[in-house]
Amino acid sequence: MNIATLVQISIGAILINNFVLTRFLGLCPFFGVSKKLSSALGMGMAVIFVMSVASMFSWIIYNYVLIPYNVTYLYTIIFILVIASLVQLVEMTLQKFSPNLYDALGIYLPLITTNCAILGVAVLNTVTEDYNFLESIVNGISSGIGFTLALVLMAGIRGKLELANIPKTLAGLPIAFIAAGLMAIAFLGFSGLNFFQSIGG
Amino acid sequence: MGDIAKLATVLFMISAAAGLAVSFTYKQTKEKIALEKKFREEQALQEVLPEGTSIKKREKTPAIPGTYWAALKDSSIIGYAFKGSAKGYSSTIEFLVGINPEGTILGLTILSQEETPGLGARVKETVSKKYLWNGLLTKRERDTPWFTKQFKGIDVTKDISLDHKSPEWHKLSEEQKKSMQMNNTITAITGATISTEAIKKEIKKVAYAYFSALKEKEDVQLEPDPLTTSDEE
Amino acid sequence: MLKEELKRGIITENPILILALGLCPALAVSTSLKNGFGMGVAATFVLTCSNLIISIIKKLIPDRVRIPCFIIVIATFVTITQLVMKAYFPDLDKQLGIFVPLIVVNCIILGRAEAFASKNNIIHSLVDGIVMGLGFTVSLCILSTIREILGSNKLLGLTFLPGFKPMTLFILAPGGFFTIAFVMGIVNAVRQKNKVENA
Repeated sequence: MNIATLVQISIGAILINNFVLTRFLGLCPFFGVSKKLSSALGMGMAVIFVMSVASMFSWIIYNYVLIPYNVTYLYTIIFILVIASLVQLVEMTLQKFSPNLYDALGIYLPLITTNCAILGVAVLNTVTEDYNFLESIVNGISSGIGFTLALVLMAGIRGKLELANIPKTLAGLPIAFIAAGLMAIAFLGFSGLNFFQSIGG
Repeated sequence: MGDIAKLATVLFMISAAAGLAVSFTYKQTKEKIALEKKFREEQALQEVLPEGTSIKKREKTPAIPGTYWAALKDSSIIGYAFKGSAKGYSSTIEFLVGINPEGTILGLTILSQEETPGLGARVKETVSKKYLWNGLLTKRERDTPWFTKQFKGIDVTKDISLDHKSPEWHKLSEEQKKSMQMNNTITAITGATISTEAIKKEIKKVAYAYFSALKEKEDVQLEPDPLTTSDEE
Repeated sequence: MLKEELKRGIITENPILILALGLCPALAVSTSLKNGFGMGVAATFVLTCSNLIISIIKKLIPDRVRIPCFIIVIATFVTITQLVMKAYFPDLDKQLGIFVPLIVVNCIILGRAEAFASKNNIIHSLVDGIVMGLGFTVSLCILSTIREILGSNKLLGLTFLPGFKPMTLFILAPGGFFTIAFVMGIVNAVRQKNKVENA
């Protein structure tokens, strides 16, 4: 268990390679839900949960089913089905145990299925980076945290934007994109953050 | 009950059809994909080892750090190719370096990197005289990136120095380039010193690791200088 | 009729610039014209095929499991695209990276399957797939051209203007956001002008 690697992965997912602001994953819900802080937080929590569990299941299936049977090229289909089922499960659970949150998230909950971030993290853990089980889970949780961080920051900014005087052509999505761009520049500053490099050798 | 059976049947049939379509495509493309991989590997080896040699792959053993390649001409080894991974600024830079038994670099090629575009990613930049209006219809040539070209002729047994003040290698005159080589010096990519340093250090490390392992195994006349980690600049 | 459909897909209902769908790949792969065009073609292929198949089998799909069925069909075509790309366009595959499998969650494709292909006849769905894909490709090309020229002074890998020092920011993440913001802004301005003129 290399703790340094795990910390590096999590800092990487939250700050250095932030899913939304650096990797461009998870943009559709990002611009849809980020208008209010409370729904942003709720969405973020749901995404963290789905990402972590999806990371776990997709890793297990990839390494214990797809690879041994030599059918790794089926990963796209299998992963997306796993995610779709998971989201369905989360939806039913929320509906039963927390109807308020369920109503607040509304249409955005089933949209988590098409959230590129969830499929993205599953593919990253297995095909692209080939992490081990623990590293996958850490990456899954951290990516979710990174997504939530960007989402919450965006909600805060958009809340203020509502009160500002914006030219009509830029109102709505364009100004949100500009805000995201400015945040992305800020996050670019993290790209050199690698304080475990000396330990790595 | 019949309802669920119907749902299950439909899903099953669609999945079966999907599975068939994908397996069919897979079988058709499998060979081409494997061929591509082999082609890339060969192409990289061609870039770092001299022409007209037969290249043999040697497998990793407990004594030798990894797979490597030996270039043979008339059954004597005139060069080796080693793979290395350098910790760059924002990604791992994988490269293949060709070195002759005396320790001189024959060629360097970057296999993969995800450095910052415009900075570290310029390790793969080629300087081309082609512009949009005259280059669109002409044939594409495979040019070597200037950054890796400058490593040709550098001696890994001696200290490789990095010249921060000189302009980038591709801007130097022929005499200046020759004198850089004589002084075992390379130029950095402006603004990407970390990527440059990482590659430079890793080349020396890889060369040392393989040559000392090979000395036990084969007759290699090479005395690499022991590398100390106080090599931090 | 074809002309109207083309106008719809490329202009009035452009997936990226008007409907704001398919944003993830739009920003991520629009760093160069070659990549943007490649992604557009791949997505159009998947969109057209899935629209076609879903329209053909729409009567067989029970309503309760329609989303999983759509997903299986779409994922199949994405996998086929992935394999063909790896075999015949490996450079493009490497450049587009993780966004090739991510075509399966491109909101445009699932959106059109749900909103159109499952409710319309085969020819209509086929045409819809093609024109929406075309619209996606066109906007991708617009974004990619702007970013490649401003960000690396190149177009299709060839240098554009001699002596122009490019702004690397445009190939990086922030550049994507700013480019789409301004293109959308221009689109909005044109739409508002049209509204005023037609009123």
